[in-house]
Amino acid sequence: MISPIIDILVPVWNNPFETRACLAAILAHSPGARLIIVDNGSSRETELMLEEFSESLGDQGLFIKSERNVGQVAAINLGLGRSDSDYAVIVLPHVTVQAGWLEALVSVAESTGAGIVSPLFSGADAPDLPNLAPGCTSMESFTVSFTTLLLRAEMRIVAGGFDEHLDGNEWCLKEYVRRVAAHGYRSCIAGPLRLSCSAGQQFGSVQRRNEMMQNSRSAYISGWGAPRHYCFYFGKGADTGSLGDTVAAILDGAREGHSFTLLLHRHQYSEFRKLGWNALHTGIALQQLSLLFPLRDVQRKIAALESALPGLIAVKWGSCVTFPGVDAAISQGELPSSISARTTAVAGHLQEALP
Amino acid sequence: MLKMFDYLFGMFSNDLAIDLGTANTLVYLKGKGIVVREPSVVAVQKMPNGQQKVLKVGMEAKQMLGRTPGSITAIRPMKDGVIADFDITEEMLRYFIHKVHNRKTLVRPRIVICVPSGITQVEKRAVKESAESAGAREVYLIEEPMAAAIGAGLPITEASGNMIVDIGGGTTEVAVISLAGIVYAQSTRMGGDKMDEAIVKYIRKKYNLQIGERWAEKIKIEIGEAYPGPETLEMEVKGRDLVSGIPKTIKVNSDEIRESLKEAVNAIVDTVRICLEKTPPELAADIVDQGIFLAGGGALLRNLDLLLREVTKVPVLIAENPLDCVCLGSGAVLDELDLLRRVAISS
Repeated sequence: MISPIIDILVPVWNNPFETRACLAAILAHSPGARLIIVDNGSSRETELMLEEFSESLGDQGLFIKSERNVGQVAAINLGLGRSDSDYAVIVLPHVTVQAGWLEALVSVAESTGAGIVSPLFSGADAPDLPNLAPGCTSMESFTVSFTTLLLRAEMRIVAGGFDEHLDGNEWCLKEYVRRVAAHGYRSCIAGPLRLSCSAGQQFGSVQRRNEMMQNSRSAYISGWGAPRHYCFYFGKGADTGSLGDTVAAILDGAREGHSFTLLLHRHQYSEFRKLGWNALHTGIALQQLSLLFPLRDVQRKIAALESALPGLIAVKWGSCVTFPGVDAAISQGELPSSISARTTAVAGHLQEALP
Repeated sequence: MLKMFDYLFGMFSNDLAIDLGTANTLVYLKGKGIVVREPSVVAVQKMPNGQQKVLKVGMEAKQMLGRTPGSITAIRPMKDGVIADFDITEEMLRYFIHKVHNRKTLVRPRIVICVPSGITQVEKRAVKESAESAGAREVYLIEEPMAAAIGAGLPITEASGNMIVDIGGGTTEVAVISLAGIVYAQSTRMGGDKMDEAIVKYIRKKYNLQIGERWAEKIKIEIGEAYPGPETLEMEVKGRDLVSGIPKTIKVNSDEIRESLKEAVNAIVDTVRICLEKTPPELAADIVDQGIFLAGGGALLRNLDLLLREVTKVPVLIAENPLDCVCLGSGAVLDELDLLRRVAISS
């Protein structure tokens, strides 16, 4: 089997020591990959370090220089524009890769056909990514991070680059994941390997970042609709075997950025796990109800979810099922139209401002 | 044991902050403010055994510039913002430490010293050792742009970007500061001294008149400008005719001086412009909101703020006390040890 060609893209702005350590680790642990370094208006000291580093790379390195700092996302797009490999992997300079990191990412991309793959990270300032289900080596996810990100070339050709007008972080990535999902490409998190990362640089006043985040969120919502949170209750008697289509609809919804909590009786929970439905998507959370008073537990759990997520939509499976603690629940038949409706109402947790 | 003596003597010493500038040294005494403001000049005498003996420091040494007999040299140990002669600098530091402590000998103060940004590890270590040899118990180094920003009252501990332009005698340093750290800095060896030299050269070329540094500085202060003002200013200048050799007086105006300063001013403006271009857009947006702050003696050049505003399209403000900004800023951190530890650079 022919090995895929890989470009590793590192956007650089100053911090020569940390950057050099990152580049050296990439060189040591990424045999056969080409390094694309984008100098995003760095100081002379960093420039000199990059020039010295690039000298030994020869054809295995491409050095792109921007005299001005164009912003991180624009620098990434600049580098992606010069990548003609099967995969482009973005690595930010505060990451230290280790042996096997690239193979792990590529292996997940090849086995799942995913368009975007992100690893997990370790370190006090590591990005907050969802954990994988126990025993999983990868899981679909709507939440990824620029810290390290593998992108499939064919996906980039159809979907394009990142939107430089968004916040350069959460909403820029959500928009991209949503855009590629519309073209049929999945986004995954790969485990169990964790890349070590230190604190990345965050610039600008809190007020400005907040403003940017709000504007980007509004732009996302006007383009793709507001992400919503759904809570499912199937009822005690629901046969797991007949839930396949509903779970498929739930998965489609998770791929579009909506999140789901499934309240399951013990036997359902066990069967879902057997079928691997606990590891479909990080946006689908399974919660097992208590054995003794399951209906009371439903009420308790739904109350907690409604308080944490105003705008939560309760979904009951089947017209005969009663959703304890919920006055108005939609049926699973109404789910697809609810998901595809592009409402601008925002789920509560998304209204939190930056600290 | 030595540490105990240090601690004891430290109790009888006053903490200091020292701005070792190319042209002037300022010393801030904790609780008192700026107590010393003298030229960075040392007069040394070469002894028969080859050693150098320090005769005068500061104002008295400056007055000897150009008037010393053969064996005595008046030298500036700081060149282009960095220490060129560490032994002489150590003597200068010792002199100022003892001066502010009223000549008491057993003093071991904590000292904050301002250094240019981008100073090398070797230079940092050398500055620290000079200060320790001169009698300091503890030495902290902080970068001049950071000190200037603190002195100018900028909110340096916040996440928002702040830009400070410190135009000193030897260098101009432009820095972007956020979260108590210099995010980006650019410096150029263009400052007040080179402006004076440019004026000397211009008048020599145009009028065949040789003027001294002090006259050049006077011209710069009285009629120098970076950008045309509402009126043209004039002044009389005394010098020596290069052809006849006799003293002569001429009249020069602000248009001519502006012309003479063009290269120096453009170098400063280019440094600011480059720094803005290399700053991430998120920080640049904060700077556009808050403005660029000018500090240092060079900030007083007439209409330099207008020229910078014209070129960068960003508001430009002059710090309230531009000449003392760096020293005031480094003095301010003497009262806030937590902040001092955040902003001090490691050596």
